[in-house]
Parts: sequence; structure tokens; C-alpha cells
Amino acid sequence: MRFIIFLLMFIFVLQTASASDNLQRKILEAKNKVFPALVHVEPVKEVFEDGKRVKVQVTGSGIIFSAEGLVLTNNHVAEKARFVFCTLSNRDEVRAEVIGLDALTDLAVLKLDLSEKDYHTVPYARFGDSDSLEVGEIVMALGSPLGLSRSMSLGVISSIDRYFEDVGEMVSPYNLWIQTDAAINPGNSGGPLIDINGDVVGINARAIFFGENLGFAIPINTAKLVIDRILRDKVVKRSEIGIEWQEIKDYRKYKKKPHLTGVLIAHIEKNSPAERAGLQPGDLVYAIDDEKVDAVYQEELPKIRKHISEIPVGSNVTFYFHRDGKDKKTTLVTDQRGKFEGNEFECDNWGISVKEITPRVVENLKLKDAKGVLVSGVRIGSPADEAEVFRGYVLKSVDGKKVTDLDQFKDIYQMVKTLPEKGRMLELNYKDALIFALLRGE
Amino acid sequence: MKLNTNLMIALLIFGIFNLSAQDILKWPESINKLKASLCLVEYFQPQFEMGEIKDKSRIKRTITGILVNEEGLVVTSDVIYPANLDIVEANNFYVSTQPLPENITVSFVRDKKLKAEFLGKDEDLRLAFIKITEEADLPPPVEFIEENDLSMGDPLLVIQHLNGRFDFEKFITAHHINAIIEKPKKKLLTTNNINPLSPGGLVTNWKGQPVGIVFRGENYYIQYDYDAPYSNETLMQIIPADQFISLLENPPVLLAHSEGSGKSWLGIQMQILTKEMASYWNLDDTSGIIINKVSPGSPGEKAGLQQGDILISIGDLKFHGYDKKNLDILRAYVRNQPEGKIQAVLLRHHKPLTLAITLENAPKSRFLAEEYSDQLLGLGVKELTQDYIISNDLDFNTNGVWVSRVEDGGAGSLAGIEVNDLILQINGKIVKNLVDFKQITAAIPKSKDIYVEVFLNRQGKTRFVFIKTLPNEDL
Repeated sequence: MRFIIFLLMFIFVLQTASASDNLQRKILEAKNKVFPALVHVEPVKEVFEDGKRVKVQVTGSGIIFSAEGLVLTNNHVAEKARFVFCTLSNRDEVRAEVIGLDALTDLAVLKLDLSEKDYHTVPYARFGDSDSLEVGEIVMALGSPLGLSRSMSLGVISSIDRYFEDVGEMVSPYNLWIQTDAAINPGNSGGPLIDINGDVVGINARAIFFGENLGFAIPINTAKLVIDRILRDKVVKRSEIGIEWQEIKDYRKYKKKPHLTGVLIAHIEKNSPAERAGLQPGDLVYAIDDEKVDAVYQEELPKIRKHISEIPVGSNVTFYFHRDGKDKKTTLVTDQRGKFEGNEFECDNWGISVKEITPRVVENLKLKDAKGVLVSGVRIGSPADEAEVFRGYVLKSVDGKKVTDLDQFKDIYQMVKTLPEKGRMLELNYKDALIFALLRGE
Repeated sequence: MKLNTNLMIALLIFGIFNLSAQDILKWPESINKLKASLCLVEYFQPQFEMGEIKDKSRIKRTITGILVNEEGLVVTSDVIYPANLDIVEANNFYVSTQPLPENITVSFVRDKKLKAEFLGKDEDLRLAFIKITEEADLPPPVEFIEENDLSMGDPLLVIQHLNGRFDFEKFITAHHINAIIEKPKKKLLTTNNINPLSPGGLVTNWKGQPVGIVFRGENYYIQYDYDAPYSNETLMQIIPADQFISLLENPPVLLAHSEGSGKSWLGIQMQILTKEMASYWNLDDTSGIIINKVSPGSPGEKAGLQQGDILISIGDLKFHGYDKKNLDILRAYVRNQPEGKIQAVLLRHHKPLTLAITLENAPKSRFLAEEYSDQLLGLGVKELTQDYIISNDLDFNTNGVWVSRVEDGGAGSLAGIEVNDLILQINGKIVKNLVDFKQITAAIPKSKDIYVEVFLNRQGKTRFVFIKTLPNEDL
């Protein structure tokens, strides 16, 4: 009897051993498939600090997804890069060129410059299907956490529909996030999250400070579309109509209609297609063209935003909605969504940096229009500092010459950058105030 | 002979030393009388609590007061009610509620507390006035004199109270005027190396005649864990009597929901016309102030002032030089003008222009706005004041009420209402003002599990919040 129990235990131990052997083998196989395509990305960025143009090097990760050396990484790794230095998994160092950036999904496509190497193709990873993921699936994060290149961590998928509201620069209006407990640290950004088969299912992009084992990856299906558009157009063009949507979970309860479907309009932007079409906050939209729309919960909002964003810019779109108990419809023409991040320019002689006024700047600073350039920094002790120009002011004119946008301002600046003894008069706006600043020469 | 000279010098030195020692040690007799007219003002300050819709805690505080007339008028520091009264000085946008002090008592001698009430304050001088309401034999009031020839180096005496550690004993310190600030209003500065109980001390000249009051500076901390306000200012600022003597005759009275500080305003934002700017625009020898912004609805807007105008003079005030102080001088001048017509001369597109401006009282601050708390929703709301509208970049004609308090764990808080939200509609009904808010919320059944739809504006974006009412035995 005792022998039988012992035998049974032995068999059990053997079985678990073989199961874990099996898992170990699969993890190694998955790693071996992706490892050769892993890239350590070190862009040298040009950023503007206190009115000065400075260079900083950052570290991130990336994954090669084509034999000719196309690399997928995060926008926040590759944006503003002057040069991108990459180290491949064979430790070869190559330069890369930024093909395209998409801030709204935080993705970027790079192309490795293989011309100096004696090979013209590189190993690449295969993309999986992030729509078929399940909570509990084993995943691995690969990349360079805190710059420690060629690192790998293991975990499971903790959630497949994590929703984040947009906060400042941290935006993700069009996608949900894959949450994982595989360790993700700064430097993992842009690196792949892979499944047990070695397929890339996400791009690691965020972690939570003070949180442990809370990493977040952009679903690879979101990336597939972005890559497609970037390779075609260099940018991702999106339609915009100027609506902030709200889920109807509590609205249903307030209306005592538990089976109501649709999505609530929370906010309408000024001068937007939605405003022109007469849509109002409180309207309950239940169909867009012939597609039903419904968001009971917050995490259903990104798919509605994405649906609208993918309508070709300038198309007619019909909205079907309820207002005051009546069914109504209206048709609008979509606008193109404006740039997320504007270009910046250093006015060395004056001691300021200025930035393009994007729709986001107009909205955040509640500007009346997008005319002028935004003062993004002031160098201490410079003529602009002396003249009490502050960050956040909008430059409207120089010596009476109106500033309309950044490119036109650059031309003006080239002509008037030297400061005569009499000075140059800047007219600036801050909120509703018109402020004068005289930049003086030595 | 040589010895004699030395002796003489020694005697001379000793004599001089002795003389000055006598001078310093013997303070004028009147100081003792004046000491008796200084009183301890004790009161409770309700403590504003962010997560509550009613202030439940209060802190006992003690400050110094000076009796100034036979009817029991006491002048003290405005730390007793530190709220801004009008929008011109309103800069603290985090705290917006400042309940009036409660249970004020005044004592000239220990254990003899007299009841008193809060009258009002002067926003610019930071002086508050309270009145003793109880019948009692009062010490003689302090009679201030306007001494206009105080100059640098003149000695001064300051009578204050020590803090509770020393049982609030009165104490006297000798100072010299170390600096005089002339503009926009005269202030005397002297070194301050002790932290007295409060800045409301009495200042006398060397003869013991009252000539001023210690001014509450900016670096004044109202600590919540200590019985006295605390200053770490190493410079003592003194307001000479000529600036407040008329207030003693006619002290400011703060009525409930009053219309502000009673000071006048123009409603402009401004910058100095620098010498270099004047020369750039070929306006050499012109001193003035550039108008950056004219607030909608302000006296300046009604009179037709425009952005970019250069103000040359107003009333009998002309500007001299290019110093930034001119901005303070203009501000102080306008604030102390009575309501009514005043002439302004300005340059618009380099051409002179005269405008008649009708000055009005500056609009009241959010501190003075009426607050209403709704227990069912767990919210406190306030009527809209101009300072809220300006600091939130809203249109001048915006209607609604804004959320001044959200009860932690209350229905509003659970639904996601935040302090500073601007409520526009409730259950589809437009909320124009506090009256509407009271009416609409009164109609909500006082039972649990009712959903209330609130349409609001948060930082420029509208949204809906659905508040589910909570079970509550108190309702």
C-alpha cells in the first residue's frame, strides 16, 4: 500500500516535471523566434528647454517586422529624434530613419539603414492577433528596461480591455490597453509583448509608478492599421467631428430604461462639424450611417472614436439620435484631425523658443484662433527675459508685422532677428490680454 | 597734564554713555497708560474642510487689539478674517470659503473677557475692526496722532503681546526706522527679530505718542495647529496713523453677502510704458501705463477704454517717470476714489483722447459669494462671481453655480463631481443661479437610489454626471 502511494507520487512528480519542462521549452522557443528581431533603440532627440534647443539621448526598444528592416516602436521613443541609433540582437550598431509617427496611438515606424552592413535582410518577428487574446494567457515582454538591453520578463495577461482617459500628453483615444504583470520598466517602451507562440501581440508602452507588475501594451491589431497608413501616407490621417462621447451606464438608470442603446454626446467643440450640424450635448446617438453604435461602458468608447476616425476625411456622415423623446437625424462633413504635437523653433538671438499652434493648443489655452506662434520657453537673462516675455504667451506680431503661423514666422525671424538699439516690439497675447514687449539690442 | 586729559576723556565718554543709557532705559511714562488700552482678542475660526459640506472644527486663536474709542471700537489685524473681499486682490483660488470668526471676546485685564462682534476690514491696510458689545468700564482709548515728519533713524517703541508660552504678557521693544517706503503708500520698516503674538501691535514715537500700527505682511502664516498666527518676517512693516485715522471715525462694515471691499475699480490689466517703449513709439517724455486688457462689464469697458491704450492721467493723478511703482500708485489711487465720474486722458494710436469713466465698487470675491450646501447630493455650491469667471476663462455672461465643496464619500463625490465644476443643468432644467439650484434640488425626492442628472462644465468641457442618492437617516 505504502509502495503504491509512493509510486503514485513519483508519477505525479514526473508528470508535473514534464509539464513544466514543456512550458520551459515553449518559452524558450517563443523567445528564440523573437529575440533576433529585437532592437535596442537610442534616439538623440532635439528638445527645447527654457527657450534653448538641446539634445538628449533616450533609450527605448523596438521590434523588426519586415525583412528589409522596418521597426515598430513607440512615438514617445522616436518623436523629435535627430538621429536614431539602433543596436540589433547580434550587437551590430546601425542607424535608423524615422518613417512615420503617430502620437494618438503612441506608435512609430523606423527603417534600419543596412547599407553599411554586408547583409540586406534581417530576421523579423511575426504579428499575432490581439483580438483573440484571453486574460491569463502567458506573455513575455522583451526590450531594454532602464537601458538593460536584451532583457525578457514573463507574466500573464491581466486584462484585455483596460481604458485610460486622456491626460495631457498621455492619450489613447482609439484603443484599449493590454495589461500584463510581466515586468515593464522605462526603456521597455516600444518593445514587443509576445505570446507563448512567439507572436507579437502588443507593444509595451506604459507602466504605473508606485505600482508593481502593472504594465500596459498597445494591442498589435491597433499597430497593424497604423503601420499600413504610415507606409502608405507617412502619417495617419483621421476624421474628426468635435464630439466628446460618454457611456450610458448611468444614463440608462436615470432614464429608467435598462435596455437603452447608443452613446451620449457630452461635449461639442466650438466651430466643429458636429456644432455646425446642430448636434447638442445630451443627444443620444444610436447609429452612424448604417452602423449601430453603443457604449454602455467606458471601455466601449474607443471603438466609436476609432470608427469615426477611419471615415475618409471630408465624407458625409449621417447621425441618428434621440432628443427629447424624438428620433432625429443630421448629416455632417468630417474635418481632418489636426496635428497633435507642433514643431518648435529656437530664436537664439531673442532667447525664446516658439511652437506651432495646433488645435490642441487652441483648446488647452482657450485661444480664439490658431494665429501666431506659442512661446514655449524663455532663456534666462536673454533679451526676451529682460522684456518680460513669458512661456505660454502667444506671439502675434513683430514690429507691427502680423505672425500667422510657424513657417511664416521663421521667415520674419530671419529678417529681423538682429536687435537694433531702438529694439523690436513684440505684441503678445496671454488669455485675453494684449501685452507689449520690447526686445532690445546691446 | 597728560593724565588729566585722559581722565577728562574717560569722564566724557562715561558721561555720554551714562546719558544715552538713561535715555534708552527710561521709556516715556505714557507707555504704561497705552499698555492698558491694548487688549487680547480671542475668537474661534471655523476650519474650512475640503471634504465636508459644513465646517465642523474650529480653532481658537488669540491676537492683539487696540481700543480706539469710548464706544468699544477695537482695531486689530485682519488675520481674524483673512478672506479677500473683492476680485482685485483675489488670488487664492484653492480656498474660497472663509466663515466669519465666532465667539469673539476682548480682555484688557486677565480673566475679564468682554463679548465683541466683527465689524469689517480694510482690504488694503489689512486692518480689521471689532466692537465690544458688553457694558463695561473700558480703559481710555488710544488717540493716534498724524506725525508727518518721521524720518530715517527716528526711534520708535512697539507694544505687543507675547504668545501663550509667556501667558500673553505685554512687552515693549525699541526700534529705529531703518527705511521708509513712500509709494504707493507710506510704510515704515524696521528690523524684527522676535515673533510676537500678532502683528496688530501699537507703535509710538519716542515721546510715547501713538503714531502707527504694525502691518500684516504677506509672509503671514495662519497655522492650524497653533493658537497664534505666525510670521517669519524679519522686517517689521508699520502703517503710519495718517492712513487709517479716518477709518477710526468711520470703520468699514462688512454686511452679510456684502458687495465687496467698498473700494473702486477700473477693471483693467496693465503694464508700465517703459522709457524704451516710449522712445520706440516716439513718445519721448511721456509717462504712462499701457492697458493690456479691459474686463467685460467693468467701468473701464463701459467708458470705452481699449486694449493698447496708453493711460496718461486719471483724475488728478499724473504719472512721472517709468517706474513700475506707477502701477501700484494707479491701483491705490483708483481703489480709494469714491464711486462716480472721473476724467482719464489717454493716447490711442498716438492721438490724445479724454474719456469720462464712472468708477464703481469692485465686484465681490468668491469668498463673499453665498454658499449653499445640499446634503442629499453631498455638495456645496456658490453663486458665480467675476473672479470665478475670469480665473476659469469663461464668457462674461456665463450662468450657473459652481461646486465649492464636495463631501468625501457623499453622493456627489461617488458620482465623480469635483470642486470647481460649473453646474449648468440639473435633471434637464437650467440652473442660472443659486435660487434655481435651491428650487430644483428641493424638488428632488429625499429618498435613496434616485438618479439625478447633472450637466456641468469642467475646465471648458461639458459632461453629464449621474448622482445616485444614498441612504441617510438624517434626511
